Amino acid sequence: MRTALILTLIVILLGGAMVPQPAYAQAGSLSGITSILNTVNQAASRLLNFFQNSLRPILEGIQSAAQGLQNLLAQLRSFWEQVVWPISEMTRAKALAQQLIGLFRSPMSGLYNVGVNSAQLSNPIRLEAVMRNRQPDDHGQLTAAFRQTFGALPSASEVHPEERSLIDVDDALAIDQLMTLKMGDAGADHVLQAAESIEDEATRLAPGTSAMVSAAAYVAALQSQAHMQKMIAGQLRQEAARLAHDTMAFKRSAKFTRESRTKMTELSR
Amino acid sequence: MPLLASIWQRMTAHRTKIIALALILVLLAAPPADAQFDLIFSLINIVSSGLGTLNQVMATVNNYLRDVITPILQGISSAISAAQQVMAAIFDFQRNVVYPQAAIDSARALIGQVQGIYASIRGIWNIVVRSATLPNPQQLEDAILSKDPGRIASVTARFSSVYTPLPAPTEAHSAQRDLIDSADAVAQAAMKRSIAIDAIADQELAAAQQMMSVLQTTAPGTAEMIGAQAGAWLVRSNAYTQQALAELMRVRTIELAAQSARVKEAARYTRETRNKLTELNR
Repeated sequence: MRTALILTLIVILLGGAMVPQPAYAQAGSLSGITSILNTVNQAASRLLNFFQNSLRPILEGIQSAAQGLQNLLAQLRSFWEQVVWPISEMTRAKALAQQLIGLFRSPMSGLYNVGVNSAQLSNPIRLEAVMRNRQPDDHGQLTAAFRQTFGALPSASEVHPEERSLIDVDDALAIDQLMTLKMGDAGADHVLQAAESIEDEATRLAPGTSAMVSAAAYVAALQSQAHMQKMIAGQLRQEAARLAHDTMAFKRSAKFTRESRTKMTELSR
Repeated sequence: MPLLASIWQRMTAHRTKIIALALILVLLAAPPADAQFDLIFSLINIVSSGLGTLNQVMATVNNYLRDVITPILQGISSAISAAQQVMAAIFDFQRNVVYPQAAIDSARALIGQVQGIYASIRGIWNIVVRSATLPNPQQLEDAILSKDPGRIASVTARFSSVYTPLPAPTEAHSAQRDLIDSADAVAQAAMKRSIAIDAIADQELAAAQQMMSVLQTTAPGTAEMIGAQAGAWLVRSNAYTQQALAELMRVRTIELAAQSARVKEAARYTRETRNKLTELNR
């Protein structure tokens, strides 16, 4: 009995020594928490590094650019307001327009309208009046005054047909050119009206609308140029007719000379 | 005392059993609770330490955001705000001083007015004038005032019917024929050129009318583009004017040359007549 008891005790002691300690498994969860905390800590450190090394330079760059933009805009504003479009210069330009109108419009108008009529006899006076009246719609009156002054076309029995034709075309082109001049005078009155409107607008102009008015003036100048070309065309016709007239006279002279020589030769025989 | 002595006596008698029982109890007893508290405390310490470090890092981040990033962002905000104010001032200046709507409207009204004036002028120049009374002069006049380049070719025949054709070689001296042909050619060319110039002028007027129409509705910023086109047309028009003036000067030059030729012709005629009279006297 005593021996059995001792053996039992020994078995129990060995068994107790061989049983694993129950608390060792708890230590694994502690290291997991530490690992998580380390990861979070590392992430926070990386965030801080990102702020310091990446975000800060970018933001400083943006700040620098924004300040640069601010300075540039301020300079641009200053440039526009003080150099390109200073209010004082705008006022001065408008004042100049007003001054030019005040100084020159009336005297120029007086010069433009100065009377130059010089005829003394009734027919030339009538012709002069009608050819300078700036009315383009009185062709009949002009033709009548012209013929009263320079004579009517001779009848067919009074003159050689060639000469009669020459007289008719000379008179016609002269009357046509006088009509062209009347149109030119009437047109010039309107052109002056347009020019004065543009001048008046110059006293109310803003810098941004001056280009519109300038463009209108350019187009008006183009139209005036076209009308001047029409006048030159009229002058060209008249000069051509004069040259042709002289040449025709020369043709008739040559013909007359030849006929005279023939007659003289016949006489000398 | 006798009780204690009795207990001690019994324990001594069963000392081996008692020792064995004690050993079994020791081995079978649950582990002491002291080990559980150590684990919790060490866990708390680790978490606390980790959170403390994390807190420090986050505090550093917070301080960095507050002390470094925030002033930078405030600077950016301030600069952009100032830029916005400058932009607003520039916009106001442009809208109220450079391009005021009233001035734009006024300029457009002016353009309409100028357009109307030139429409009146066009009406004046479109009046048809014919003054010749005989058939041949009428036909010539109608051709050279037609403004129709298609009728240029008819000028030669119309011209000859009024101013007579070039004399035949039997009817005039060769020098006279040269003079007549040259002068007539220049006169005809001038008449033909006058038709072309009239047509050119009409084309220019049509182009100008188109430009004026567009200009009336154009924006202030694009007006210069139309102005540039009008400027180009003006330069072109100057070329046409120069051509017309050149033609005019040619006519006058030939006119002078023809006058000189007639003096030469008179001298030749005088010499020939003198020679013939001398022969008659012999």
